[in-house]
Amino acid sequence: MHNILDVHLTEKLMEDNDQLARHNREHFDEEKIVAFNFMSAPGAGKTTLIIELIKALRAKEKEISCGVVEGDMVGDLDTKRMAEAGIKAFQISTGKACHLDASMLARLLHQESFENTDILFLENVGNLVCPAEFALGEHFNVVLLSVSEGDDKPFKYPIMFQKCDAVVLTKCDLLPHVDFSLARAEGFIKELNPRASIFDISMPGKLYDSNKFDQLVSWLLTSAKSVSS
Amino acid sequence: MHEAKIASLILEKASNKLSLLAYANEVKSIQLAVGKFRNIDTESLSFAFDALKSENRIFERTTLIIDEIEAVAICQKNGHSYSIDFTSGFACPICGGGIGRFESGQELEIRKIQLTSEEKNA
Repeated sequence: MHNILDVHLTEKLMEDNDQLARHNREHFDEEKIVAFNFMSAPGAGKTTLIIELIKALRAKEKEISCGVVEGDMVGDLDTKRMAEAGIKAFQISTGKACHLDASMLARLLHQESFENTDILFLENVGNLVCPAEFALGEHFNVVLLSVSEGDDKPFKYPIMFQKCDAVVLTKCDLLPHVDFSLARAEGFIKELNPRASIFDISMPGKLYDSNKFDQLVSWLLTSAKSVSS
Repeated sequence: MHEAKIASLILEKASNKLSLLAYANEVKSIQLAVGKFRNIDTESLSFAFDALKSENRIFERTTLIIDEIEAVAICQKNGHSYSIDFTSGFACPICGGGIGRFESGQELEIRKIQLTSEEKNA
């Protein structure tokens, strides 16, 4: 004879990851590191933007120390780009995983020294879906959307845009050449996430309003100081 | 794309739970709540679950039951709650305000495990 038994419970599937993310956050807070998680589809310009932001931060505040964690499925091309730009970077190869998760970052934090790092940029795997599901312990989430991807992406990938603290619309110097409405993209983002800061930018030296890039640098510094103060 | 990872987490969590219930003989079903405001494709999740379940004898004949939970948002401006249907945008239908927070739709959890156990005195 067999009995049938119902076991009622509430077992959150992401709890292990979330617990490790909290552990990472404690680690950051103990070391006085402010961590920004940069996410986007492949090719939106995360690596270039991080390099330019670090240059701008260093120009503004000489003493500031920035580090980068590169998440890629294969290889270390972006870590090499960072090294060429004089930036300390660590590679996490995710293998078949399409996102960084808290355990990958926890391993790195225990293996490497991040002493004296003020701002740590976490460059996630290029993907507008999965990284939104895995907290890392970051203080701020930043999502990039390049104008060549189309202004409907916040509507099509709502979860990523709903969770972030800032959206950076990149490659805006291409606006005259692509079918992208800043107002439409910003409209979707504001419906999903009224608290998100939105920046339409191009990299320094490109034909676009350079004040917008400076505003992003200021947001980054203000956000970092709001944590460390 | 990460549904295989979620499927293995379901089996791992259920297995850990059942180790506390030493009398479990076979798991008939696992009931999962998945909010519609999660990046989870339920079809892929079921496929991945069926592919992985045979690795543990106790789950060989387990059915995964997925309850999809409606996404209900609270308007940031007027506090009104409204359903998100993913077809006509995400704004509050009354005032056009954005999402302040969610009442439901972000769940990802096991709610029930149904198992068979040997009746000791049979």
